[in-house]
Amino acid sequence: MKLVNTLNLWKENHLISEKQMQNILKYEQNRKTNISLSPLYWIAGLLIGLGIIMIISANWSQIADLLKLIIMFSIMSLFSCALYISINRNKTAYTEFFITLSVLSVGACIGLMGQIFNLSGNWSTFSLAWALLSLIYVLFSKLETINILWLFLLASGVNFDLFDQFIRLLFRGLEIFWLAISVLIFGLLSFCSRKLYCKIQQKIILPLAFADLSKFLMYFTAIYGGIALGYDHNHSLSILANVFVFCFLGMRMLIALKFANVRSFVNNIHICEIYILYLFISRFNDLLISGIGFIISGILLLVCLYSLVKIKNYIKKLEMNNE
Amino acid sequence: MNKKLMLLTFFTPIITLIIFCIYFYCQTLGMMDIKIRIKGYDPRDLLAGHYIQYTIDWDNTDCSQFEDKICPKTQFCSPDTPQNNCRFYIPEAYAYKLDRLMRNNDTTHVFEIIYAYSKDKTPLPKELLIDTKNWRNAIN
Repeated sequence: MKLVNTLNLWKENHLISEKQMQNILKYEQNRKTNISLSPLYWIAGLLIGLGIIMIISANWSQIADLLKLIIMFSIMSLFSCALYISINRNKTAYTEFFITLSVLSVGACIGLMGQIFNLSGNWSTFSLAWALLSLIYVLFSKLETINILWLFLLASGVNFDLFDQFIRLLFRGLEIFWLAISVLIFGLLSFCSRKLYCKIQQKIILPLAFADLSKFLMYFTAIYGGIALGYDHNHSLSILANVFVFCFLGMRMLIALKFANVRSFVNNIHICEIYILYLFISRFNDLLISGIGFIISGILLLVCLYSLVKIKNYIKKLEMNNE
Repeated sequence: MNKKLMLLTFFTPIITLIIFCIYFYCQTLGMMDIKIRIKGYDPRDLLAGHYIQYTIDWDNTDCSQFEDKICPKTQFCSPDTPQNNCRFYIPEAYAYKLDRLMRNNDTTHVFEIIYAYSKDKTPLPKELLIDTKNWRNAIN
């Protein structure tokens, strides 16, 4: 409905013709139909693929090991051929279906090899091998969900303990700096991945998935880190942590304003509201100090908004004078 | 992307896994069989299925099978080593029976693993024995 109204407006202002309007509407309708069905095909692939994994896990002793391997590799080859055909015929929904099946069958095959050869190891080794071997299929997927799940699979195989120890050593006693650096790193990763995605002309979804995941981790680190440090018995650290969270959300709102991203601005406001409510609910031990803190924060926010409006009006006035 | 290249790309993981299968199989060639006494239980892995997680009972293992009559303990697996923990995979249908047998055992039964062993390679478990018989024959 919104699109129709926009297109009518453009047509009235002679920006597009009637035929162009119809073409755009037709294209959008087809595109929406394709996008809405692809996730369902993916879910079907997920169900079948997980079923295959479970059947293999049952480890049937009635079938010889060699026969099990032959059947497994035949199934994988079938999925690969079907994927190839669906890509060539531009069947987007079936492509996602066969990509999901191929990725899961790689995991199933590794599990089967582990059973037959009694391979030792842990989840880390297994998930790294699975992630690396299934990367080829994931690169052809246009669904962000598959890409994000693949990133989780890869991340679960990487040992972050060493990195965490290094960071803690570096910022021992300076937890706020550690928190700020982590948030900054995730923010940079998100920014760079999005740039890469645009640079490769949006042909591969993986950088976009990585960007969205990094953005989510940035928010999670900032807010969860703020909550965790906020519970510290050290009052100054607790205050610093809360100030950090509000500064972070404030920055995100400013960036949203700058790029006229209404959705992002509204989302950040909602997060802010929830965080304020959380602070209110969790502060039963320091009611007086928390109460004063809340009032001061509210007054400061009003002062900032008032200043912002004044500065904006002043700049507008200057521009009008220059003209 | 070139169509033939695309098809080859899709078959790369399959070819890689086949190569690994051949590699693991060839590893056992030229290795001798040795018997190791064990004790263990059966957890479950959602992806790989049921397996016996065992510890090696070196005190009751015949070390005369090895060179210099010394058991090379460090070469074998340990449940504390994530990269080389002791696992023997079993079918789901027999998992409960085997698990009960191993947990409730008060030296009534002797559990052993036949390993493919070579001095310069990682030993690979090949078969599970219960009272010197193949486990399938022993529990039926």
